[in-house]
Amino acid sequence: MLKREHKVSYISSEAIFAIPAMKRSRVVFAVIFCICLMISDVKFETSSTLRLVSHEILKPISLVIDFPGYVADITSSFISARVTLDKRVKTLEEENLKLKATNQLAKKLAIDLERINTLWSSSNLNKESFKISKKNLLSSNIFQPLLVLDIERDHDIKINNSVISEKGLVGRISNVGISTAEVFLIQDIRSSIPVVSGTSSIHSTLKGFGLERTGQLSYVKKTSKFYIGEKIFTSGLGGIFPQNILVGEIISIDDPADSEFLRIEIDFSQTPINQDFFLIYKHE
Amino acid sequence: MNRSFLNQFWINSSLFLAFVIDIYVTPEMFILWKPVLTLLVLIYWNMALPDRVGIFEALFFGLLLDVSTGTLLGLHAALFVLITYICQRFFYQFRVSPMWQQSVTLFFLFFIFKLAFGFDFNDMAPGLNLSDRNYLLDSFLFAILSSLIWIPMFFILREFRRRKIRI
Repeated sequence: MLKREHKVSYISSEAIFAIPAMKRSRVVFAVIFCICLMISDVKFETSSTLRLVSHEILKPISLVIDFPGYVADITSSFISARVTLDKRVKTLEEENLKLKATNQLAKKLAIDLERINTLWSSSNLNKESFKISKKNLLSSNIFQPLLVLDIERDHDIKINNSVISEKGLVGRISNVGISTAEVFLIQDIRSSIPVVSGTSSIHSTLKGFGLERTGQLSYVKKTSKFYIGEKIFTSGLGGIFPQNILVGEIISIDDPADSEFLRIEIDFSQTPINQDFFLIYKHE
Repeated sequence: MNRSFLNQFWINSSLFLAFVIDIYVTPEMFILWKPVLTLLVLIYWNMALPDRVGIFEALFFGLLLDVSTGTLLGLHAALFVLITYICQRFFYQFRVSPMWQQSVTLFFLFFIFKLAFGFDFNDMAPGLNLSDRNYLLDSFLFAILSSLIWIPMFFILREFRRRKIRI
């Protein structure tokens, strides 16, 4: 029997079979090791490289997790294909007749659409610069949330490319790996982005305060005129984010007596929670 | 295969499975207060087989969670090590206590665990601290949910231990 597995009673000299607790010295050593890691992370951001490597290594697991859903989708579509196909052919024939009738009315709409297309192409967002990307994971870290996106292997995505959803700005690429990219979210407490208000056109900086929390406009003078419900857009200053992308909406304006600035809370227009696809915009 | 090696394999597999569920499977609607299953499983093994689980597992899975969730490197690991020590120190008392008592004890443990993540180590957002009402509420919900999940988790892992790890 190993020595550590029992003690001997000093009174009866009998073996006492008890599992000893772990040694305190080892616990202290482990905690000191962790504190060293924390300090190195704070000072030199050592975790960013490790994170990227770990996402690449763990990516096959996410694929394995997605696999049952993929198989279920294929199976259900295969089973229902024949039955639904007959029904669909009949409904499509009816639809076709209706479409022919409404086609006459669509001519007017086509002219409007042409105008919209002209407007779209005149905007400084180049639609060719967008790349769609699927979410790999979103961490539960409230103050420094981490969004990881799957990207193609032969990508040309760079650090600081903007990430946008259909509801507004999500963040920017902070780390790029072989097949994954990390997104620095605008809700992150380290985030600070230049913004401009929609109606009053006043420039400011928007700071994040964590996931599912409101952001705050910083250093806004008390003479500035903001309105509740006013939309906030990216100003494009700094050159990282393209301008005029919706960021959020003003929900409260406070005038604290002990501060020389206004406290303006912003409700972000989008949240990465329960959203699977994002657009990466390659801002030139 | 060596029985001891096989037992260790099953323990580590259960921890890894909990980690995968934590990172990839748990629905995002509970993202702010979802329980850390890896910690629950680690606590269970510390209670049930304290001589099979130790600092190495706590460090390894803590660091794995750190790099996966983007928290400060070593924070999860340090907390896991401390919780492992507490569990091993008091597992005789904890193991014999009724289930509701275990849940209440774990509630306080999880509440403190969650609060540790509220510290702004880099001082990036001045004014953001533990007095933040929303964060306290999130921590409270997290602790409640974790302590409630402990009960089914305990029985599932006990059944698993009886089937796979015959000690």
